[in-house]
Amino acid sequence: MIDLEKAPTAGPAAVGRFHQALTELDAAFEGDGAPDPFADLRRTARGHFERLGVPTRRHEAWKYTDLRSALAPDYVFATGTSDLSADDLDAAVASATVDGLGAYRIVVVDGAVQPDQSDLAGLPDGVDAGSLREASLASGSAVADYFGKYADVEQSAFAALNTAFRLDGLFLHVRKGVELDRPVHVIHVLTAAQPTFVQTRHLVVVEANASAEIVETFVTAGTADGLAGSGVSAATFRNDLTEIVVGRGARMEHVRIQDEGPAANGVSLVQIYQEADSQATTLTFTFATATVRNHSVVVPAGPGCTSTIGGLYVCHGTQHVDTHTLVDHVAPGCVSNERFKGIVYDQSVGVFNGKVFVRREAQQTNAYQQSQGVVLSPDAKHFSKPELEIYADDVKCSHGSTTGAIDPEALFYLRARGLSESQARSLLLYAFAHDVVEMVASEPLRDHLDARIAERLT
Amino acid sequence: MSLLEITNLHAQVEDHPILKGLSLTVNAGEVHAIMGPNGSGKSTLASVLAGREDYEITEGTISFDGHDLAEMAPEERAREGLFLAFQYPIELPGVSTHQFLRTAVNAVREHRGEAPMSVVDFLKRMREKAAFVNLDPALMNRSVNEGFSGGEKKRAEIFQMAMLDPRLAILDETDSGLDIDALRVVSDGINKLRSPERSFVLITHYQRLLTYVQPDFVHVLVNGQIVRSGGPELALELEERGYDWLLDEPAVAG
Repeated sequence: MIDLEKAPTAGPAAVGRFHQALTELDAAFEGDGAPDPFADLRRTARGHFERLGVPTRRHEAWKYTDLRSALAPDYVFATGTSDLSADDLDAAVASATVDGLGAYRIVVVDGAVQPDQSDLAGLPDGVDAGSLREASLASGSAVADYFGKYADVEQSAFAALNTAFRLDGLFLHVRKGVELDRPVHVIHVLTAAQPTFVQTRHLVVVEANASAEIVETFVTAGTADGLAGSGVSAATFRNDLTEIVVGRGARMEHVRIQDEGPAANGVSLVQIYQEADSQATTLTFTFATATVRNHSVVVPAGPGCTSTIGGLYVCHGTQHVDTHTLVDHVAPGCVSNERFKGIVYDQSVGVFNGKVFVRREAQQTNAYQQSQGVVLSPDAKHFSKPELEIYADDVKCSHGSTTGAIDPEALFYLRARGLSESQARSLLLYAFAHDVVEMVASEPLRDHLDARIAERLT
Repeated sequence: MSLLEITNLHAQVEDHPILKGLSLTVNAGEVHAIMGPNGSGKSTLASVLAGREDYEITEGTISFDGHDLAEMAPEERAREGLFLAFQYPIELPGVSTHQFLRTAVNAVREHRGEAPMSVVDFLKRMREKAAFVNLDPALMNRSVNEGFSGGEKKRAEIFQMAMLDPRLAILDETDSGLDIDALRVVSDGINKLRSPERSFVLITHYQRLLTYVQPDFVHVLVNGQIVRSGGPELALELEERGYDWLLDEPAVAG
């Protein structure tokens, strides 16, 4: 297993520490019995990972997030099998289900798609949805046309690591002009029995003038070995990578709900590539987790795109949620709109770093970014850093970044009308958080999020 | 027993004394006007009564229906039937008026040992009370005071007062910033809410509100003390003569 206690220094020095894990992984791969269609890509990615090593706080992009303790447990790498009981799995899936969403369902346990638990009945013609692994092994699949072409494995250690490992996750392919009638709900279930390292890989291709809505919910099932009934989970670490391609004139909405519990660590990269006149939205709601780092990269590559990135994190205890975003405006006449809100209680930490590049060719760009944090305890922290780099001269770019407490005047106004201090605070925080919920298209999903937010506000 | 009994009240903000021995008695059903020049302590009195945190009582007592008001949190005061109409009602983006008022009304009802109001009854009451002050019922689904004009904000305060049905309403310069039409609407609303069980303290700089809402008593506050008390005619006298002639008056007993 990975011995990271002593390990994670950057660069080649880290390689040796990971060697064992990777060798074990290679062995796991060989046992597959199936040809690996991406052997070269994996090998290259592995090389990049070994060169890059695990990032540390010495890297500017990781200044506020120290992964050492998140990576310290003696993790077992998920291999695609799980001995989770049917009851525990059912309970986990039920807890993630969104009433009224009416979605196609794909269940992923410890990174492996479970066809038996999934429900894809009635999928329209022109749509493939299912396991990326299965799809990549099938002949004539579109996977090879898109896979691994967008995420930067040369610069991102975790993207490289994800690419080097066993690949499974969602493959969704919506062909030209097809409007997917219902959302696809991917329910990720982590097994809580023992410390597990899970890597999931999604590939979503929405071709020209097509549309798709994807919802991902992350939950944990069962309890740690030897602690049955305690509700305590073993530590977990996810490294997820999602590549989304949105074709010309297509629409795509992606919503994630991270709610795996206070032992769940992870890093994720959502990489979106947009062709001309397309609309893409990616929203991340982070509730119960441990240390989590979410990176969203959006490239509106053709003119006339609209890109929306948003998120809400409500943190308690020692939770640490780090959000990094990059919108890379390379084409003219695009609009990007970014809105992130964080609420930090106790000793929790929220980090927001939003980069917007407007390249010389990207004239008439309209880029807006907003990040707001509410700090509810003297020991909680929120760091917010907007970074705008603008090389075009005819653009409209603005950003707002605030971190503060609840407005005492607003609190007093509500209390003077009879609300208790906690009622008043909840009402104000709910209003603050609801701004991000409003960005979600589906009403049942908005209701689901509102209910969960209400539970997280105290 | 009087509803509100303020005795020799001294209060300060950040070590700066503002109220310097104010006494006032308000009985059930009475309307008192408190007038005075800028900086005399009118709004401080309102803030102290509502329980704003930065205001410290250094001496004297405030008894509200027999309770020591100073010991009560702002929400307890509200639940006991004290209402402050703010001079500058705050905007609460994202907080719907409907949701906020339901929480408030039910908090008051719970305190009185009453069951929460049903949604149907609540909506009916909202429509009724909104009509009181000519407030568009569509505003109920909007955020509290957000984007309201000055007049709408003041009318919304009177509307909220009607919803909460207080025993003592303190109106802090509710007439300020209102044009004559809005002033008339607000005054009408107040007059409709007058009853033998409800008392009002109207804090105002000008006499004009008092031509629409006839007070039982008028008090003049100067330098943190009430220097003169009288009937409605005192307000007219102030309108004519201003406050200068009272600036050196000694305090009178409430």
